[in-house]
Formats: sequence, C-alpha cells, structure tokens
Amino acid sequence: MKYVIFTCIAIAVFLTGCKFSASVDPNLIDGDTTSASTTSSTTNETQYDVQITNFTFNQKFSNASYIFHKNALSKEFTPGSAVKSSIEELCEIGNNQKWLSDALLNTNVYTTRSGLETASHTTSNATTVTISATSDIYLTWGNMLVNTNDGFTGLTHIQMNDLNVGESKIVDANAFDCGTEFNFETPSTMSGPHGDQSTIAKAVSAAAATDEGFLSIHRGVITSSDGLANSVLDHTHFFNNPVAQVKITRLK
Amino acid sequence: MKIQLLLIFFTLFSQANATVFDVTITNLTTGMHFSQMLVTAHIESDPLFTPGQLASNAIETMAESESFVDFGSVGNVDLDTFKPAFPTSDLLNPGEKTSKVTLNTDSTANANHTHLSIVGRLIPTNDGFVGLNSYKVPTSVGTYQVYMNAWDAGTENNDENVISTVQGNNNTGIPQHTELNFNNSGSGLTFTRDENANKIGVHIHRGNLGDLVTNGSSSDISDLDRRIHRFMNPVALVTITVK
Repeated sequence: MKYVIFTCIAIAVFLTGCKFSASVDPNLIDGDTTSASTTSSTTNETQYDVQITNFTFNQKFSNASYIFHKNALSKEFTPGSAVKSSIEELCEIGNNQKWLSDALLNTNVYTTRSGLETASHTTSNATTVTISATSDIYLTWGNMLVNTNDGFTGLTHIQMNDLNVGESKIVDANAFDCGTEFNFETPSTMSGPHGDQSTIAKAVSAAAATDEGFLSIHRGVITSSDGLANSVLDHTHFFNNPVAQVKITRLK
Repeated sequence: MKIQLLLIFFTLFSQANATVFDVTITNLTTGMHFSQMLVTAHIESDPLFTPGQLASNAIETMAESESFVDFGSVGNVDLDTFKPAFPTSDLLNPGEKTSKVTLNTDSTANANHTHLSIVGRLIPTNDGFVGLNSYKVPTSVGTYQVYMNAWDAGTENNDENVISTVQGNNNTGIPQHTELNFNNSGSGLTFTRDENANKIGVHIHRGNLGDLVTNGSSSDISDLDRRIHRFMNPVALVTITVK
C-alpha cells in the first residue's frame, strides 16, 4: 500500500511539474500561476531591460510608464471599462507622474520607472530595472499616442519571471482610446499640432457627454486628409494595430 | 492518508476534464454594434469559417442579414453546445458586455469539442462580422481573455448604402436598423466588380470609409459617418472562464 501511495504521489508531482514547467498561458488573466517560478537563482534579485518599439509612421509615444509588480495587483486598466483619472492624464496630456506615484503606494508593486519618449518607427533606449524578487514578477506598461486626443497603448500583467538569464520575450500591443475625450482633433483639444511634448500645455478635458466613457480599441484618426474640419492631423498620422511592441530581456 | 490519496486523484482528474466554461463578449469599438452572436464549441476540423475560403451560406446570411437560421441545418454545429449569446437587448452596443453563456463539453458525445468559435453580424457594414475562429479552449481552471477581429464575409460589395429592409443574400446594401436609424441619403460607393456575383474568400475587414455629409449632394456617397463608424481590429474582448 505504501508503495502505491508513493507512486501516486510521484505521478502527481511529475504531472504537476509538467503542467507548470512551461510559462503560463499568456491569455490567462486569473488562475493558478504560483508554481510557474523562475529557475533557481543564488541571489534574491533579478535584473531586466525593457524596451519599446513604436510601429507607427507619425505617432510619437510619450514617456513609457513601467510598473513592476506581483500578479496579485489588480489590473491598472481593463478594455471595456472606464479608466482612472491618473490614466486619463496620461492619455490626454502624456503625463504619467500621478499614475506611477499612485502605483508605488500599492504593496503589490515592486517599483516603477518612467522611460523615454519613443519616436515614430524607432526603438527606445532600454530602461534597466533591478527587482528584489526572483518569482512573481509582472510588468504593466503604457504610454500616450501623442498625435491623438486620448489615444494610448499599453499592456497589463506581462509575466517576466518565466525568463531565464539572457532570454527575451516580445509582446505586441494595440492602440486604445481612453474614452475620456471625443476625438475632435482640433487645435484646442490636442496636445500640440504635432504632439511635441515640449508644447503640451493643455489641461485634462472636463467630462462631457461626447466622452465614450470606456477603454476601447482606437478607431483611428480621421484627419484633414479625410475632410475633418479643423483637424490638425493628416494622413501621416494614420496608424493600425499593432502599434507597439515591448521587449523584455532578463540580464541577471 | 486515504483522504490525501483521494485528493491527489481528484486533482489529477479535475485538471484533465475541466471542460465546462463560461463565455462573455465585450464590444470594444466606439461606434459599431454587434447583433446576437452564435457561441459554439466544436471539433477542431469543423470550423464555422476558414479565412481565405468562401463563406458558407450560413455565414453569408448571418453577416448580411443578422439571421442565424441557416446554422440550424449545418452539420458542423453541435446542438448541445450551440448557444446564442443574447445581450440585454438584441444589440451589443459600444462598451457593452454580454451576459454569461455556459458551454459544457463534458459529455462523452461532445468531449472532442475542444475549440470555441463565435460569430455575429457587425453593424453597420454590408457583410462584416465579428468572429473568433477555432480558439482551443484551455483545460486548466482559470479565466482567459482573447481578442476577436472583424471579418468580411466576401459576399457583398461594401457600398455602405443603407436600404430599407433586409433583402436576402443576392441584394446589396446595409439593412436599415429600426433602433439605430442610420442616415440613408448617400448614393453608395460604386465598384467595378460585384462580390455578390463573384464571391471572394473570408478576409479581415478593411474598415468603413464613411463620409462627413448627410445632405444627399453629389459628395454624399456613404451613409456611414466617418467620425463614428470607423473601427480597427480587434473589435471585441472574449472572456473565457474554465471551471
């Protein structure tokens, strides 16, 4: 009997090991991920590079906002739901300060970083981060599409701790409309004719009946090239999904 | 010890057979509406549609006329897991989420129905539909999210011309929707070839053109509004909870 029990336990351990040896299904948003730990490490910290590639022709990205956190952190934004005011600030004027400082107060957050802007069709310089953990490490990232009213791209809960040292992972991202301002594309509603961060003077718009009210997939800009009166944009500002790619490399 | 043993067996068993799952769908567009949707689990080799290949009559009727009547006679739809997803009204409007649809592929008869497909008409378009094509449902307990794209059935020109009523697969035009009451002053886009007569394969929808006038003038071509009815993929979020 003891032998049988031992065999069963061995099989159970073996199967469980098989099940979790690969990384977690990237579509999993709520489930058991605790066993998907990293390879053993002699230290209790890990180091990563994070880098954004902008796939658009003429949509500069505002400073990349990075939140490094545990899986237990609630999603910072959810397609189909309204965004919080700190993300509205990022979507409409490219300011990520409140979002990142708020996040730091959460005990499920290891640390945050504000990366550089990413010019159109280029890759940003990597942001390097050291995290005092070897398991349960996730990235949430976002930035504004500067030549839009409230366009945004980002991802939540990208698993990082399944990378071995030297390995990378690449994930594509879509453009969202934050739903906090109608896409008028007019001078008074845009961050700047060409969205230059240095010219941003606009305040966050007041709530209006024309706000969509939820985080949607962006329907694209209309622009003066398509006859939209007073639009400061033209066909060079068109974009399509995916608009961005994030690359995570584990250094240590 | 016996209890532990039982627990181990139970754990193994439940991981291998978790094939009861809930599905909800969220409309992520800002100006497009979805009809009622067909949510079904099926065997891998029997998809509802195949990109690049001609749409079935059932897909054409669904995409052009918002009717699912032809799916009833299609052999590849298993009636045990054929579940229409009914939103609160007969339309799923921008930002809205359907109520939960539960599929059960636990019985012997449909245990091989491992793949999930969803289709519903995309409004306003000529023959556009939202579609999830043969997503392999995970067997591990948890909640999963996948995006769903807009497809073009390839069975009708995208003339963006709103007509009064549903007129069958061989007619052109976007049927007027009583709830949404689209403008219908435009003359419609013109094409040199006719997709009705020369159907093409199911493909990713290229999006709506629309225009900015509703006055019936010579520049009033499309009945759709460029500021409202444009969209990009993905158009919907599917949440799958494996129990």
